[in-house]
Amino acid sequence: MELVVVGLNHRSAPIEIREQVAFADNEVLEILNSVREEKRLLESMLVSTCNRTEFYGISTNEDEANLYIRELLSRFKTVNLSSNNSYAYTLTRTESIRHLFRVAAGLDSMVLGEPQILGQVRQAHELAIKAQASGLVLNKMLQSAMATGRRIRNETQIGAGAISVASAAAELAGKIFDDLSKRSVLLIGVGEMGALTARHMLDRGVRKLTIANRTYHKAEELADSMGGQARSLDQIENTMESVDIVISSTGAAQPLVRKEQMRQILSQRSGRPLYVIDIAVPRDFDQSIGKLDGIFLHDIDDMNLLVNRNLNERREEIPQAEAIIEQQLEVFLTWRRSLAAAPAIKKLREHIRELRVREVSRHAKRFCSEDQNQLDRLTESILNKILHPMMANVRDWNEDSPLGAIRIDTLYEAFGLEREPSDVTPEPKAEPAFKPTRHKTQAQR
Amino acid sequence: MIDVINTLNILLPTLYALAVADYALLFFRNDEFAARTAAKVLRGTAVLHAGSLLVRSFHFQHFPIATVFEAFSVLAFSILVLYALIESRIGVHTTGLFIIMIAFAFQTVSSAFIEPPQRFSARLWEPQFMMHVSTAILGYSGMAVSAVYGLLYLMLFYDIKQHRFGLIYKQLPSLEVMESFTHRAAWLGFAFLSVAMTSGIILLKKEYGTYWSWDPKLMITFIAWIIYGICVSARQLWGWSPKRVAFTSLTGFAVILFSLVIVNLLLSSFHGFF
Repeated sequence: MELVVVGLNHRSAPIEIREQVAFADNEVLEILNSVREEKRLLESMLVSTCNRTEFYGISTNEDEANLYIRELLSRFKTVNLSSNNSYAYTLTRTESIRHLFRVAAGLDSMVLGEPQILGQVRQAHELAIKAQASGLVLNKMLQSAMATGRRIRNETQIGAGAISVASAAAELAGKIFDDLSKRSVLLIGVGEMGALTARHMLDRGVRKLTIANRTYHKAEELADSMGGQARSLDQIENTMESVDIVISSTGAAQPLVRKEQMRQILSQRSGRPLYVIDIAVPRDFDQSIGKLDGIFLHDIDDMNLLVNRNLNERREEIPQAEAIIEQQLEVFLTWRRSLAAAPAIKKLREHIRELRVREVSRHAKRFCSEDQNQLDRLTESILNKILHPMMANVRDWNEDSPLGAIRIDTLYEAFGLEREPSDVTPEPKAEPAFKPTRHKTQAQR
Repeated sequence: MIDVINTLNILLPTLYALAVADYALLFFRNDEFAARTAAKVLRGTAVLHAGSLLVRSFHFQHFPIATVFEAFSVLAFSILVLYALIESRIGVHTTGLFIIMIAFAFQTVSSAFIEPPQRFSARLWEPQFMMHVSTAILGYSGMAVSAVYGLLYLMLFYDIKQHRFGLIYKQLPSLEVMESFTHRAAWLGFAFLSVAMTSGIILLKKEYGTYWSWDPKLMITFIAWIIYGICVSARQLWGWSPKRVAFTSLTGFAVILFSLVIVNLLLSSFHGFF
């Protein structure tokens, strides 16, 4: 039984393609129900986020499963994902499990280490359970993947530091002020980036938001939607005397605030620091203002500097995260290997138990009833002593290796155990290359 | 007993060094082992140090402030305890390195040069004298902690101003937290030094029949007291910026160090080593 993944993500396909294969929750349930009824896969799950659509299937035949999943996705969405499609990739065997672990840890995300993916994988698993599409192997695999994701978040700094301009501004504000819930913010301009930065501040608990704009009614509209107060642009100097943080993002060609004005404003602030985030280009605050004592002034380049530094720090955590993935993968593979020998172990145990019972009952007449009980316990104990270490070794036999498959076959033959079709160990295959299989189109060839 | 005292004398700077190493690992590497052990090492050092001071007190039959090196050890202990209280309050371990380094320096100098006191005045057991000296040491420790937080404030202040987002930026708590502890520790230092100066003036009158002496030690301590007085009230009175308060705290501590080291070595004073 192998895991086969067929999918598209932000690296393999542009958004125009990804949006064609995005699945809503009800569609996920529909496709998983369909797979269950068609019985071409043993277990299945679909992860669909804005950056990836990946179908996970458990099958005894990888090639067949790959073709089936591609055909299935093409059938449900109006996009051709046949095997020569360049946007979709296929991963099999250990590589597919490693991929799932990397996805859950945020290592395969567009924004390295982003935390949402863990919840999205959990949700995909819940949908698979709801559709009764997942079973023993997939459930265990998902549990391991999520444990890996959590472990990496706890033991590394992969999710640390702000990695967007808006969150970087909030992070910096948190380095100046201890408790943002006691702070007030003035947003100058109603641009998208400024509004997003103000939202990040509100998320961090900022007490009060004032929005000033050249066109007053636009300030009012945004203030209504964000729970703030509106001001006209000519009131910003007065407002700056009382607020703690200013976010400025207007389209003004000339600076709105010059050094002398700011000096005047600071004289009214009794030494309280003012943090100005000027993300406008051209800048709204004269850059010499930053030299004043009570002012912390950062522009868009400073924010990008912080974001890049944080991203670099996250990248430095990748080797440690990959090492954790390899450890967790080994634990999972050990568990899975024990499944390969499970039918043989079960058969052998039953076979030997039958022999014991038969032999004990054959000779039972030679013993009195009290001794019969003793004999029963004694033979049971001897068999357990012999079987226990043997079973422990058999569990480690790996069906993926030629030797492991031969050993399991030998076990069946040596003890004359009957083999059912589902017990057949598949022929071992070579591991695929690390990179996702990207089938090229005719045109690309 | 003297063997125990000597062993403790070696053990104490070793434990302080361990605490410094733990907090350095925390600051530079976010080391997990250091995170688990730092607070324990800190508490263990404080307990052992308290025990060491008690043993010394009972063995030599005096409060261990008879020599400058005994006083340095008490000063190290009170800085350590003050920091432990701050850490339990803010729950941030990354400022510990800088404060424990100061305590480590005082304790190392103390352990290196400390000797059994040859002679000491019976006044060392007098309550008024003990209060004078202990409050002076507590005042100094408050000022030391205030100065360290002032220094850290300035380091982070300039890093944020000049867009340097390095280790200092990453590891230190917010400017507001450090401003708050610069101010609170300065208050503590100022309050204890006020008590020390008042009790000192009373002792002066009792011993020499005057309320004032143009003694260099007394004058320099008075200057430090004035500086910390400014430090704790300038924000409210004149709206000083936290940066200026931090600089003032550092200046005050520099004056204290001058008083403790230079005046003791180069100038003569009726005041002994304090």
